[in-house]
Amino acid sequence: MPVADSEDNHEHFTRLLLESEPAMLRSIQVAVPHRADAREIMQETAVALWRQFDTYDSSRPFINWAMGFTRIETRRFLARESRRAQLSEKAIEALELEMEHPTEFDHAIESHLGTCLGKLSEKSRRLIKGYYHEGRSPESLSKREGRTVEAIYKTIQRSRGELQTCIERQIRKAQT
Amino acid sequence: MSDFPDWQTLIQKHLDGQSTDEEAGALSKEIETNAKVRSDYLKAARIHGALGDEVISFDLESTPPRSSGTPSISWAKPLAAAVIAGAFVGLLGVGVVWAINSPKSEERMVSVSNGNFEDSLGPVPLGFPSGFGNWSGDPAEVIAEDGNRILRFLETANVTGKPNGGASACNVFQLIDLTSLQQQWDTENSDNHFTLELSARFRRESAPTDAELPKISGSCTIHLYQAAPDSIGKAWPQVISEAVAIGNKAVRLEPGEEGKRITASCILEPEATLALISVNVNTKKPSTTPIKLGGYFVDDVQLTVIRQPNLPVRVVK
Repeated sequence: MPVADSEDNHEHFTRLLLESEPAMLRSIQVAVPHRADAREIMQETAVALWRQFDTYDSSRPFINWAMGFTRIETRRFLARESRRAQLSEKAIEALELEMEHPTEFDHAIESHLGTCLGKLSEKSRRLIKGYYHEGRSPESLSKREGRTVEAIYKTIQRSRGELQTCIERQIRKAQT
Repeated sequence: MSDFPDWQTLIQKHLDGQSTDEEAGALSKEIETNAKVRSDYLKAARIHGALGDEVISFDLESTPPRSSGTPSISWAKPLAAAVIAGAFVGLLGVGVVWAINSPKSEERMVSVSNGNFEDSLGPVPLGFPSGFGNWSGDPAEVIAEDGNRILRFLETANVTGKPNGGASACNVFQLIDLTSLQQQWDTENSDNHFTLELSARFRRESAPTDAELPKISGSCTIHLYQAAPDSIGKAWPQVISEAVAIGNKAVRLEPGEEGKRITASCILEPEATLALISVNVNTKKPSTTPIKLGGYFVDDVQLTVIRQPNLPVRVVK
């Protein structure tokens, strides 16, 4: 049943989009990890969803409807942009298929990420904060920290690996 | 057996946009066929995404919590709010946030072999390179420092080995094949124009010869040629006059001054088949004998190609 065209449409759309946005963004970032690119796709998806909102059948979950648009906009982006190396279409499909079944790890991230961040070294946490929270580039962090850009990348990448190991350990601990 | 056994490292590189096309291709194949790699990729991507979603507000100046301490994290939704605010502004006619599509430029990294010097240690081979993908030149060495490897310029020389030739600079070169890049981007028939940017980070520490070298500077240089790779060294330096394009950027640092990244750029002409890139230290002191250096370092050499639409007005940096 199509959503009635009413003054409440904007509010209704906003609420549904807010609820679904984290899952949509997660899905986009699997194929397009770069945050600015993923946000650009999210914007395009939001516009497409709003334009087609009168075709949305409210008896069905909004997220399922929205995910179709997310995939289309992601493919469009990948077809027109070549700034960064991309995964193959087959690989992205395989990942998307697997994402349809959330794992224990997915649920555990929200519970344990804070604890695991606290276990990182101060230097690593400072870089994670600069890179993700302050939106600084590795170049800018390199200047601030007096280290090479390569060293900044390596520390951030190693820290993410440590976070993954820590979350997996927390899951095992919770099971025993 | 694959050439990329360390999938975790490659996954992490890919998430930061650092993987090459070849690496992304290998990772893709592994994701398609290897459930463990697929699962690891999804976990890493989830952490990458979650960190980007969060507002981490723990106090970095205080002692990090080690046991039960948990940084306070608020799960903010700045993106969704921005998206929705933008959507309504754009779609309801109040503004044109998305309607304006400025002509976009595209950037792509061109592979510089061992550009971060992490794949070697010790002296750099002497003499002009005759093939693609290797650093060589005047006396310089890769050293390990603080877990990273960087190039140190040791002394000036005459790279051609010519007796009594000028030896006022220390140059380290690499030849880069541009043919596949030119084909891939079809530069000859494209309506776009292309620029190559060579950047490197220079640093200077105190050295015993500092007082004798008041004008010493670091620089990076890019030359484009339509030539065979082994022909450049044979005709050096006269061949410079045949370069299709040249870009150069220099920086003069004081001993102990904070390191600086500099960028040299030049137009990528369609006929260029190779790039000769170099990082250099020039004493600006006429000499035919080697001059000891030792205080100048360079790291993180990157080459980028930028494609921009041909516009009535070009953006000039």
